[in-house]
Amino acid sequence: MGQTKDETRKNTGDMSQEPQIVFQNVVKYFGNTTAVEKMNLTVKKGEFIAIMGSSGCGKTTTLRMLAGMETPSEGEIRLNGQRINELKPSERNTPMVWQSLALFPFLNVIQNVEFGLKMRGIGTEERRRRSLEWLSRMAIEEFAERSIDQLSGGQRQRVALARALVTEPPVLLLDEPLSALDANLVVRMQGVLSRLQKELGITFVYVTHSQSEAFAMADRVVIMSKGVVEQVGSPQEVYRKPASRFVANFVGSNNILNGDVSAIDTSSVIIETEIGAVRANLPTDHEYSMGVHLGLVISADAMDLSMTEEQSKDNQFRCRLVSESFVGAMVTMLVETDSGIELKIQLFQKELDQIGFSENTSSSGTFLWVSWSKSSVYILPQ
Amino acid sequence: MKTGAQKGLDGYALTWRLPVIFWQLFFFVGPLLFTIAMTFFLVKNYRMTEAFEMKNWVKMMGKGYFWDSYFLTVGLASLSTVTATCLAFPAAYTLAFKVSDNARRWAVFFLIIPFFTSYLVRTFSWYVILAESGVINNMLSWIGFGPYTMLNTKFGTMVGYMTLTLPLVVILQTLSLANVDRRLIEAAQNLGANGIWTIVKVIIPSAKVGLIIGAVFCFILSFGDFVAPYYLGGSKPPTLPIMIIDTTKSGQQWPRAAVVAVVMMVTLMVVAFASIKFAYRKK
Repeated sequence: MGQTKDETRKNTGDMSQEPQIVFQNVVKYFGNTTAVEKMNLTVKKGEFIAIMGSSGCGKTTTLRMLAGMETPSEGEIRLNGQRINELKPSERNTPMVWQSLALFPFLNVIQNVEFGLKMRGIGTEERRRRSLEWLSRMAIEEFAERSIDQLSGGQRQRVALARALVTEPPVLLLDEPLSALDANLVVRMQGVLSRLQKELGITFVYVTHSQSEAFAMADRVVIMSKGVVEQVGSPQEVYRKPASRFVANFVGSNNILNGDVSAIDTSSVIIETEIGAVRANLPTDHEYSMGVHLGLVISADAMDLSMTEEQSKDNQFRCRLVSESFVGAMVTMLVETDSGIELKIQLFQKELDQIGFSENTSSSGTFLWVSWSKSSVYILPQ
Repeated sequence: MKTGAQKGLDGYALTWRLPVIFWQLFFFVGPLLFTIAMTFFLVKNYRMTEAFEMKNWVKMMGKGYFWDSYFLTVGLASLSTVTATCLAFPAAYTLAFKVSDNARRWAVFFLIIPFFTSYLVRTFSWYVILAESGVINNMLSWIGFGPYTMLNTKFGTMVGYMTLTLPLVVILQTLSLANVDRRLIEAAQNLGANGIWTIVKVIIPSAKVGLIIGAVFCFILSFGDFVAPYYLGGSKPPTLPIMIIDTTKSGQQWPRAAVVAVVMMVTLMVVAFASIKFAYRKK
């Protein structure tokens, strides 16, 4: 949470004018449940921001408040410096690309795209010209007169984008727009979205539960849990320096260990954890003393593996292989330390070959040695 | 069984379909064919005799009063359809979008209740309300208006038609509006559509099929209704259903009444087919 506030302060400090979107102490209740709790968030013009979290964390409610489908119970939302709490959805220019796409089935492709322009009272000719422009930009102009049910998933996605963007809005809201597409198409649409956002220079607010989507496209990521913003930061920051245990758990494949400080020297700190003593770099601004309880995060891809015990390792533990799974060239292994704690390790297949690891050795119950440098141990903020 | 299945008609399915088929043949197709055949019969000495002559058709089609009655009936049924559709829409819209699911269920239940009682009874109860010395004129007289003649007018006919059709139209419209995808409504508002535009551009097109079916039912019921134009509308000038009654009573002219019936049937079929076709039209 500490980092959340710092981040906000830094951004407002950098800006000479009012940032594009400001959430100020925004709270949303639904009856007795709190969907969003004291949310503070500042989004710069032209930023691609992703709001992430598991279902029910308040990310969609946040987006719906921006679009005006929900009204904040407390606090203020500003768009371009103007308070928008009381504006009706139709009075804001915050088009959304919906998870269901919500294309009008009784209108054809170009009529769908023209809809927003028509509602703004723009004449037939200009409407058509601008819509066709967007259709050709999305490379679907040949489908202009088709009905929606004649299009593929990817084509519908493009229609939804064109329909939302044709009014040249300052902000585009996206509510898990890629969740219905198959994996190949998701990657291609990510490219389309990223490129589009850079070309247009407008703000994208993207809600997703998919870490890979958020990290692939967003400048900054907002991690939410139970209505609370856990962290705001660049994908790297969130990945390497999670602000809380929740973020560490939610993001990436991290190993989280807990323990008490047992020794401190000039450059490192030793923490007695459930798997044994772990050595970590001593942060310069540390305030640790003996016996303090700390949470440690070691990301799965920071771990090394060897078949024999090696000298001069900061941290090394003997383990037994529990399971392994392959995704492309990446291998994710679950190993168990002598103390019975499971650790996650991610390695490239190539690396495994180099250390002489094979299926046979793994199945025979041979011991493996897992090691990591003290610099790759991240200490969670207290 | 095996050969039957290969032809796409297995015995099991056929067994269940046969009663419906027979019902339709005996009670719909049969009488319809007989009615059509009857239009070519002749009446001699107040007795119907089998024949195959065009006399009845020539006679009826050549009569001015038949066509007057035809267009009057089409006009009244159309007016009834437009009136019922317009009166029902705000009610159905409220029930579909503005009240809780529970309230909607109760409302639909209360809309079904009128069908428990005889339509004729409900029609006669309007006498008490609409008569020169009835409830409405009595109340109007307190503030110095009236009395107005409402019975035996086209207004009376309309009241009767509404009694017959309005609950049904409200139910049909409510059900179709309640099924409109809320996400499309939100999407329209998100794209800048205000309340009216949302109704015109999204809700009505989405619920089009249900709204049209409601209107078709209203037209069919009003077009064929004898009670409202006879008891509340005063039967003059006669609508087609009244003409059928009159024709059979005067001189046992069943064949001529059959001509009227067949014309009505054809009209309803054309209207129903055209409407359904329009409802399911692409775009």
